[in-house]
Amino acid sequence: MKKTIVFFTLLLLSAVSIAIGISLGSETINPIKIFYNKSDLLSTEIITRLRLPRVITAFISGSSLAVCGVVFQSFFRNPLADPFITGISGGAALGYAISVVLAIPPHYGIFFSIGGSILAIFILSSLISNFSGSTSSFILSGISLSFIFSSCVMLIFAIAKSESVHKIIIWMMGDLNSANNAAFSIYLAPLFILAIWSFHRHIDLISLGDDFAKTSGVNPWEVLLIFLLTSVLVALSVLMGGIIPFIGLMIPHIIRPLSSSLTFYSIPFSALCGGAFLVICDSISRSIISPYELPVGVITGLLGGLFFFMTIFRQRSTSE
Amino acid sequence: MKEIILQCSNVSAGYNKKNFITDLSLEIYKGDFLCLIGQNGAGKSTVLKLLSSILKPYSGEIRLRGQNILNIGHKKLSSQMAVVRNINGIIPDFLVKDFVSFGSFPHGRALSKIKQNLCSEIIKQTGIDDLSKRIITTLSSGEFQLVQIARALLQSRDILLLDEPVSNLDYRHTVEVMNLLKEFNHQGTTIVCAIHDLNTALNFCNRIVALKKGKILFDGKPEELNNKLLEKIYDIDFISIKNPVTGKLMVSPLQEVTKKYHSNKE
Repeated sequence: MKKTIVFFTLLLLSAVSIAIGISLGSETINPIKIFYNKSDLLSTEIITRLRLPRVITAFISGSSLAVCGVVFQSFFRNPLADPFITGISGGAALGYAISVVLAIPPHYGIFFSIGGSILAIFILSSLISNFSGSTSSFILSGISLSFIFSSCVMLIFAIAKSESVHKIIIWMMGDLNSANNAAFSIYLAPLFILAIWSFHRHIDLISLGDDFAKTSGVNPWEVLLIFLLTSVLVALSVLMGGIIPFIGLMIPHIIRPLSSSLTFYSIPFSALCGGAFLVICDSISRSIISPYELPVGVITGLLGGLFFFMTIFRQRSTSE
Repeated sequence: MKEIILQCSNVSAGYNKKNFITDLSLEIYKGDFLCLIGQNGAGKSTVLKLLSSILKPYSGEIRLRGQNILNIGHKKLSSQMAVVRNINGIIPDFLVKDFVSFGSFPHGRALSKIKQNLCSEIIKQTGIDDLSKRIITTLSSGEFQLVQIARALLQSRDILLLDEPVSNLDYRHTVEVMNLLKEFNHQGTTIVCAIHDLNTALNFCNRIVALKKGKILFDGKPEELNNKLLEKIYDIDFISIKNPVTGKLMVSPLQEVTKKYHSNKE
């Protein structure tokens, strides 16, 4: 019963966030008015051509990042794991940057991006298994991997001197404006979220440790498959909105107490919450210094950083 | 003639290419309540890891009802054998009833009515009904051990492998956990557990296998153990008496004689 209420509340929140996302921008438009007054062609155009696709991209991108956060936190058995901190979105960005510099069409760029995220996930897994999997070694491995990837991207840009470098740098700071780069990601990402969700029982067992999962009947190839699906989802979210930090970290933490930690609930709840959160952040980034735009990563990074501080302080106050 | 359910033939295994178990052969029969005893590092947990296919042997073979366990899929193997081990690291805040229901994983899809009934039945049988809505991370070690056993029993009532199931428990919870295992053993579950407390092992099991440096030093009934064997197993002196109530062996290490033992050795 409680979970049904949570689900419908999150659904309502998502609807409200989408309505806000459509209304806000350099010009505030009331979507209900447009619905009744179809003669206002300019406003209708702004909404259907510009804002709605962007809001949908933001929603799906946020959902994907939150779902990846749920999976990574279970897989690495670490509450700090998310695509950004683990360097996996950095890997995807590196792959995409290489494809841009090599002037490969965006449709093929996705394979570079996926390749980058898969590479990152396997480097990270092997580093963790060598360092006995402690939290500090995990975070250090992820952060160093992140730095290495971003340095590689910088290096590529330094050599490339391409005109598109500025656009790509903005995109790497989290920018949903260049979303038409990867329109197909919007269709693919929900399918991947569903595919990952179908493995919810596996993810629950893996969150209790490798040996636990193995002796409970999870096959190693199933673990690998979930890993691959998640790294593709990270790559898709990076293609949609660049590197957007902290959503994958924050949303699962907010959702976990509401879903009794079962992945069956935490994936759909996180998807709705993550989507709504990014749509709101994107609306703020579009309207705060209107008519200019901030990269959405600035807003999520700011809110995520504050959330991080709050979590640390709360942990300290409970341990004292 | 008892049915052999699990069989290790000339198994050598270890970690980082170093042998911990050398040429071990062991037959486990249906209905056994077998306790593995021995010093720390003797290879008890390694044997359990081998039997549950967590660790692959360097050489030799482990068979479940005649079939090499490496050739049995994880799901099929887990539906015939359940493992209870300490869970290290961060444990998610699952509810007890959800955690117990994980035992139904190798048996196919979740949430079916029959599975839910089986789950609540096992929760009742293991006496943890009052815990079922608690979060597992808020349970005491003893309570969590019972919950783990309930999950394992839902997974398989055939074979149960337990690594030190009573190591952190007080007397009451030790007896509670061991009585539960004994009860299911009477109903036909084969139980293999690594245990440190000798008196608990002697009280509850019907077969003892003592390991030392990866080799079997003793394999027999609890009443066949004696001071000399125990001294060999643990490198210290023991006294043993018969429990006047149960008639079972009770043992205790002798601290003063131990000193003598060590000085003699030197």
